[in-house]
Amino acid sequence: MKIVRNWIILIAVLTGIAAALFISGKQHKVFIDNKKVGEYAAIDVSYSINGEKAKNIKVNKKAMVYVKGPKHKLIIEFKDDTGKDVILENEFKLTPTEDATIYLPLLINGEEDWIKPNN
Amino acid sequence: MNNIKTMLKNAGWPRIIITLFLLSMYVVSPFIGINLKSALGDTLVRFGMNAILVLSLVPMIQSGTGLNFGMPLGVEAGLLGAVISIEMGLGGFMGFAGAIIISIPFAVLFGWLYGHILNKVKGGEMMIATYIGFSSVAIMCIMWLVLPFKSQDMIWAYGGEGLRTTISVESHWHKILDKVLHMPNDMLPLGEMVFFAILAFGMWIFFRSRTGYAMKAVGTNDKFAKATGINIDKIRVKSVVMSTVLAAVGIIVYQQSFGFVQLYLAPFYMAFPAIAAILIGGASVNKVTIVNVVVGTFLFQGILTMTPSVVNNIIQTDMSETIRIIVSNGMILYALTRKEGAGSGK
Amino acid sequence: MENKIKKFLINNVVPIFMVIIILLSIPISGLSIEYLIQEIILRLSRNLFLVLSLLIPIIAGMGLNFGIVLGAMAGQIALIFITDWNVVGLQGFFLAVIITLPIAALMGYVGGIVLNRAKGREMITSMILGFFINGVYQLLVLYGMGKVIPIKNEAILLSRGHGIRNAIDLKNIRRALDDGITFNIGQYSIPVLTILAIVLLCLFIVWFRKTKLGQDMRAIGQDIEVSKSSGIAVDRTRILAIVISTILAGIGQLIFLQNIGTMNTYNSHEQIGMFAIAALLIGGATVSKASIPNALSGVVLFHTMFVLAPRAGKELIGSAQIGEYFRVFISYGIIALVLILHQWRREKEKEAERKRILEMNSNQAGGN
Repeated sequence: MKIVRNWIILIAVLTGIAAALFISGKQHKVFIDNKKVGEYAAIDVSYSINGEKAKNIKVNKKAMVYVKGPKHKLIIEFKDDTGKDVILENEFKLTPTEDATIYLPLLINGEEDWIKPNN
Repeated sequence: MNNIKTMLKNAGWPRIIITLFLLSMYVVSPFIGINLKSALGDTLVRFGMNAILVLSLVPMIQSGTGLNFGMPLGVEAGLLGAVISIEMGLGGFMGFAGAIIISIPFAVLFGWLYGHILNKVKGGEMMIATYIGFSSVAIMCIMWLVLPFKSQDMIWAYGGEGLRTTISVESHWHKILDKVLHMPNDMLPLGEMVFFAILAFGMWIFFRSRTGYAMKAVGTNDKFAKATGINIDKIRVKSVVMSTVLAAVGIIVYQQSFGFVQLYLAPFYMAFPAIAAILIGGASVNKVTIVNVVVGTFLFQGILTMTPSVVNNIIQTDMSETIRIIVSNGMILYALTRKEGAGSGK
Repeated sequence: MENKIKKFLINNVVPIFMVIIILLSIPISGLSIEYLIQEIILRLSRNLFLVLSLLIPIIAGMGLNFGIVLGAMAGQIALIFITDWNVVGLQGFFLAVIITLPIAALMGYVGGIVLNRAKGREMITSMILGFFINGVYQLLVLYGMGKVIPIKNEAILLSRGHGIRNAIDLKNIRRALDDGITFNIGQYSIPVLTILAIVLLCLFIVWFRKTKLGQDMRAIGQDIEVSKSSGIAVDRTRILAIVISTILAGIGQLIFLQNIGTMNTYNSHEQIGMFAIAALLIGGATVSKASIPNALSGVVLFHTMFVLAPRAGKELIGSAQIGEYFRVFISYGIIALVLILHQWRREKEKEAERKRILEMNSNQAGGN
């Protein structure tokens, strides 16, 4: 009995670790979409994900980044209508099997669901 | 009822399964558009190509020296003979016979050395034979690069070094055995069959000679044989030499049918299909008959010929290579895991 | 004193021979010592784990386990999965390890059962078993994956829709373990995590030898009959030895592949058995006795020769091709030589035993 119990514990622990590894190690595709959405226009933005070097994305362009794991930080920098520099910090979460698209126009204008899953 | 049961038990389940498998493929083939006559013809041609190589395993099995995993050694002797015969410009039947005659002294020498080594390692022959075979292929690779051959048919065209990997025997002795002995509408590869029959008959006679009996005695129970005054070591070396020479002849027959002499790494794994064939035919590590050779080669080559066509037509995929690997190695595995009786072959 | 030196020389004739060849080849090849050292560090970290996985079956008297190919295949199947699932980095590597465990354990179990039915011929049987399972692996990976087993990542599938491609770029976990933590000594970069894994394995082996299971295996290695009569479950222990060895081989193959960065789906595992065994034997191990120093020195010697031979061949004879064939010849030739020596020595020992027993009997008879 003790042997069976030990085996069950071992398998449970390994499965748990495997699940954790899967979630934290899964690579996701995230699209950064800078096209006009509804009535929100797009402007040139510079974005940085998880502290990487900032990249510029022009209007009507779409970029792709690979991220690993569930939680991520997005920092964007742009000039608003008055010409002032604005810096926004946001976090987003991805479920294990999700790939997503970030709609910059929505994010700039303070919309809630600026990130949508692809599938 | 009992008779059938004993027959089945003697035949062994894997063999029955393979025979049924092969039969079922023959039955199915007309329905999926395969010409039965040509398929059968193909099988027979391949039988002719390979039968002697399988036959070459018999002496060593009989003498208890195990399955000849070191067959590449004999094959290399045959390749030497073939290549030298082409270098000398011999054509036609002379070329074929020349290849055989030239390869024999090499095969005898190789076999003699090989046999002596095997004598020192009774009990572990098969493993060591495998590596002797591998090493010999590697050394001959170096030889093919280094030996001073000049024939334009064989060396690289634009100043590369050494012999080509495949050398065509088209102009020399391609299918010479067939040309010598012919059968109308090419149904049977008569030449090869007759040649094989001659050698098989020769072997049958040999094993009824005194040396032949002594060889079988050594294989069955070497202590008893020793007690009867037989020199075990000498007999074993003889059997190894015989196997090596036959392997040399076998590869030459194979090449004249195939059309190409394949050098370098081609002989590397050549022992395995032959061993699988003889095991499928019913032989064990230390017991074999000529019937095993014939049945085994036919079954094995049958599967190799039929499977690609049949499986491709049914599942639309080419699984032939994979099936070949599974069947041939599965057979050898089966033979190795049976509880073996007397003899010292390992 | 003279006898001791003689014994040392005879026991270690193979490594000594190799050292001589290598020392002769270094100046001929024209390669610098720094380059060689970096190559050796690289190859050690890449291959040592695999070679170490051979030790346990030798302890259990089952000879050279050509069946480590089975473990390698298990590891590769795991890699296919994590590449399909897109799990990357160290997480991907460790997930692959976890997935390899059950697959390798199952393969090892099958291997152990087969080998138990071929007692006395384990080596050739494990070799053929390797070929056979290779066929099954092909069946699974070339035909099953994509059809029966769902694979989403199209980059790794063949264009016909099912079956895995010949070469898979492992850029996801490339050098994951190696670059996890690196330590630089001068110009040499040392993959700390990999070395740590190897050290842990060595500690495991040393500890294992002292456990009851390890002692049981050693007993079986010495004499099967005696162990049976002392109550050791011989068959079960032998199976365990193969299972452990196969699992270790699976992990070893993962370490190997993450270093190289590409997986040849149908070839990467084939030569593994030959090379690992050749390395172990070159380090002075025999079919019945092998230790960690054998593995270590063997990998160093074998891979140094591996690097030197083509270059030396090129400089000496003008052909790197000859150098390559030469190193193939040396690898197989050494295995053949070691096997021959081992068998020959065993025969001599058996004869000496027989003589002793005869003498004992005749003494007893005479004494009465």
